[in-house]
Amino acid sequence: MREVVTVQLGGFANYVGSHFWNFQDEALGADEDGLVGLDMNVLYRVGETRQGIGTYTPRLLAFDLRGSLGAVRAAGSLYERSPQFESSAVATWNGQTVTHRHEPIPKNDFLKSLDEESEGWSQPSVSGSGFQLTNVADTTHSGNSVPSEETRESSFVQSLDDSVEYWTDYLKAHLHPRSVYELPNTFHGLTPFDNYSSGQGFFKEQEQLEEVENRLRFFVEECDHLQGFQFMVDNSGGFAAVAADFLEAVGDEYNRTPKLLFSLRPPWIPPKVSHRDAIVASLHESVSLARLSSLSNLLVPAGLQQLASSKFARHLCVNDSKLFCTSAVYATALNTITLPFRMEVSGPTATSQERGFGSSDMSNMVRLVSCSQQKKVALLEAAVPGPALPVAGTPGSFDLASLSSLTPDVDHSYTGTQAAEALVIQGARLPGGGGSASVAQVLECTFTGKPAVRRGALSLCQLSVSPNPLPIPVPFPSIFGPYVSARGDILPNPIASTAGRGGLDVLSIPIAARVTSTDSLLPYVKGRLTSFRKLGLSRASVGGGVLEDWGFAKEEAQDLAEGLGNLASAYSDRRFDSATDSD
Amino acid sequence: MAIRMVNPNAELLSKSAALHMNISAAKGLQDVLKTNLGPKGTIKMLVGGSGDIKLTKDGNTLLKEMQIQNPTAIMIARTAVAQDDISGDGTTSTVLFIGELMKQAERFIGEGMHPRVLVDGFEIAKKATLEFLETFKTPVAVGDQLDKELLKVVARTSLRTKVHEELADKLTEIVVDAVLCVQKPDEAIDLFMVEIMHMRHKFDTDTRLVEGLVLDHGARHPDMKKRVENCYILTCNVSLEYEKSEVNAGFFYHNAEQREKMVAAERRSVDEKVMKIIKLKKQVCDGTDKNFVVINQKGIDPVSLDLLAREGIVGLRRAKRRNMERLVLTCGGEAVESVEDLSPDVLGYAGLVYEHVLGEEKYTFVEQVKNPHSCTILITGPNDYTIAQIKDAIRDGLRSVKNTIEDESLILGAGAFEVAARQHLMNNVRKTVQGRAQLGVQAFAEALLVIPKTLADNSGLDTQDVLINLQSEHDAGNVVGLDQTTGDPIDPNVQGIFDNYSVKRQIITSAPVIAAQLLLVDEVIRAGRNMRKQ
Repeated sequence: MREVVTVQLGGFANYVGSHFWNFQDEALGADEDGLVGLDMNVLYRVGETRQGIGTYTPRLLAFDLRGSLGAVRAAGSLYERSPQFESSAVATWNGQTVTHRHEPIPKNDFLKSLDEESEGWSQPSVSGSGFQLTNVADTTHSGNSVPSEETRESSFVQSLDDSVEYWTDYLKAHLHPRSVYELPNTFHGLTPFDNYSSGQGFFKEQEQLEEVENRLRFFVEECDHLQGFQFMVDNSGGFAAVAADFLEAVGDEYNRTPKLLFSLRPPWIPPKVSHRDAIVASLHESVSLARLSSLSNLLVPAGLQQLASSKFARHLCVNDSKLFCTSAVYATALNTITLPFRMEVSGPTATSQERGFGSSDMSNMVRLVSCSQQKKVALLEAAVPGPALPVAGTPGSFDLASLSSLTPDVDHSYTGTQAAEALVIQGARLPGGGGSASVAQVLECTFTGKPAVRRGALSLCQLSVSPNPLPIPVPFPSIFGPYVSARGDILPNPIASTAGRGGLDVLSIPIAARVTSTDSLLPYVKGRLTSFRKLGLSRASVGGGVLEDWGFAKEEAQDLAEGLGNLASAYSDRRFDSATDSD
Repeated sequence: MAIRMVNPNAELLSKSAALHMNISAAKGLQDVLKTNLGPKGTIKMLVGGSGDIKLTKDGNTLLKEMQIQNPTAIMIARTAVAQDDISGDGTTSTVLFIGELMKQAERFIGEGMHPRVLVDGFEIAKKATLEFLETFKTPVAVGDQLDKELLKVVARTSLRTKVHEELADKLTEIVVDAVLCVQKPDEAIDLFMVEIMHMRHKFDTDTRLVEGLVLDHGARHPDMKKRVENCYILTCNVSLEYEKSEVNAGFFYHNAEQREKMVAAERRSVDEKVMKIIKLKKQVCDGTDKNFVVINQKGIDPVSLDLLAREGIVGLRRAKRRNMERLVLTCGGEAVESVEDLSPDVLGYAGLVYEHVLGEEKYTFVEQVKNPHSCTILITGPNDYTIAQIKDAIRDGLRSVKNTIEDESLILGAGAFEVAARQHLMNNVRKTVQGRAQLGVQAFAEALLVIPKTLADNSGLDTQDVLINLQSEHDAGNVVGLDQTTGDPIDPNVQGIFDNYSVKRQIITSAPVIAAQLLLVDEVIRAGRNMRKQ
């Protein structure tokens, strides 16, 4: 088994993470009816509570500000019941006790229903393989209550669209008590955390550093063959710095372990308040790119400034101002692109490939896409829902052009001489609502079609195909447009008059996603380099002052610029062919 | 008014309003922390929005938990927290003292005095008090043989303000023994060499000192023994896992055969490392009843574990970074970074190594070591918040012992110093001061009394009676403190109530500085998003 440890840093990363874990949860619940060829132990750990009850929890370390968990306790409820707060519970003091209570944050209907569900199992049925958190309505309540269940469900699912305030509001997975780390001395909504500097220095204090190191160690120690870390980082604010400091601190310990980092941010409105704010925002972008790319093995930036109006969202209806909605979009792409890490290894024969083709571990993928660490930034493209296969018998290929970028500032007119990509197609559908395609069918039209879709001189491509579509969990925002069918086919005519369809209407969708290190990324990297040079390097300017405030001395700023320069140079449109670099 | 032009949204508070805001913020913070002070204070239970509980008797923890938004209060809180960082205790006292200085100042300013004059008086009084502190302190002989009883007295004074008596006395023994264990002559005491581990388990008073090390993980192979005696310990930082050739490596293979070869070569190099360890084990253990334990900071994969297990070696992987240092201090030997040139000299020794399992958590005890210079305090408590509170108390206890050894002196506690210092300021210092700054000295002197006053208040005693009693005893030349049960004057020397010199010194140094800054503020400008948010 090749374990992956997931690290989520910051609000938006945790929002995306919650959707990600809901997808996994769905996969766990559904593995009899068709989700095959996946090894969930890659992401999950088997544990045991003091009462001897088995647990199955994500190998996850999630960082956030204090108070950002809403009604859910950081330690979760799996290993320990909610503590009692009678003063008699104080065992360490004989004198008076004064209790200060924060106004309790009410649990929403969805969380309440989850609680009821786990209350329902006073004797949880735990089999050796771990327990199954199934679809809320499916199995736990029997017979006669089903219709009312459904209406209730639809009512609280609808209400989630508007009411989600915390990433824990819709998270189905139980987390291990060591998973969530709240940054000390911060308060959600009070502590400003909007740029690089606000997240610096959290691990300067030995105690805090040891605490997070130990939490990570806890998950790593039990791995026999750790294949790598997948980081999700909220790049919209201080968590970029928290992530950089964290990576720096643990880097020595795990220097040979691949680190794949998704740098995420929700749609935003560019600051127009003042000149200085614009400079700060721009420097934040450059500094975080320079730092994070140097500390990880492959950095995948994802986060369009406007998602709803982007080409990506043509079959979706997304509300850019709702983190619950936008995070769901990124989560679908992330889930697909990381799928090969948890696919079972297939043999060379077609029968063994029925359950999936192209399992890959993180180090292979990272090495391939980064062209052996030369191009450490890659762009993420996806089609949600994915396109149907071409009609059998007609010449044509898998419609890779339907994949559009989730990485901002990308210009496809840059065509370099070499690039590598990892392409993942899951749950592809036959044309005209003809059901799901087999792995062999997908393989056939993807490979035959290859030459037609080559852009520039693409030299390496790793293809992974899984027959499993992405199951849409019940707490999922209504982001699917009216042309998307229950199985994710794109219909010629709208089937619903309502604007958005969510987890109750759409059961599963096909997805195609890829990360690639093409030279289309050049504007992304170069833009940040140029603005850093312009704003940051002259000491007398506002930007120079800002950098100094952030604790970057002149030499360090130079180093950052140099780092960005090197990063950019790997993407330059080289005229001569350098095929010798790869095989 | 320039700010108005730059930022029309900025709010201004004029002189008297600014002063008033500062004073009331200081008083407010004082009110919150007041009840914390001393062995009769109240413990605070904080319940979060999701039902999370924090339990604290510690001003420092409380300040960190509070969502303070008032800028003045933030400033005071930062000073107080810095106090804790520097000296390990005295957070509550600092806040109380700043609050009281502001209160006294308010009185005089209300009578028309200029804050500047008052602040000058503070400065004189501060200097005089620091000088007085030097004459007042009780020297502690720090020679080859430390006075263990005296160290216990200090630790007990600190601990009894954090946890109940019975537990405090137990912890006292533990923290003193722990510091004596890690302390080396002529070297600064590194409290990080005291490992603090916790188990959620049974009763809080089960907390104990382990002369050895407790690791929070166990062997990962089913055939490895759970309990071994008479062991050699190999402490190392060597990767014993097969890693697919590194991500950064720039080579590719061209065909399956090449790939196989590479995999085999990688595997072989890991196996060779394991064999070197096994060779050393055979060298030292064969023919004896000795055992062999490998504690590795890096990973050990199942194949390597299997090789080790077959030789009867116990192997632990992914040990804490700092435990490498601690293990060497506990067991002897040295931590090795490579398995080349292994020799018996690098091995440490422990009489007993055993595993303890609680649910999914495993603990490995490395005990019965010779002459340890590192040890573990094992906290057991019924729930997380109790454990956290005991941990805080132990930290403070450790710091107080460390401070005593480093300060080579102590200060009589139970308010004795404050009363004595006040008498000194009022009777001797004030007369030497010219003009109205005298009143500043007086204000400072009165403010010092906040400590005995609060102690009395928290014990439910009449503060006026108590202060008069204490002051008259001091006037008669007896240095006394307050007995918090009876309210009578007592001799802290006899009762064994001592505070740290460095803590007191730090309070007296920092509190007047902040108070002075706050008093001299004559304009408060609110601008920017953060402040407007409230």
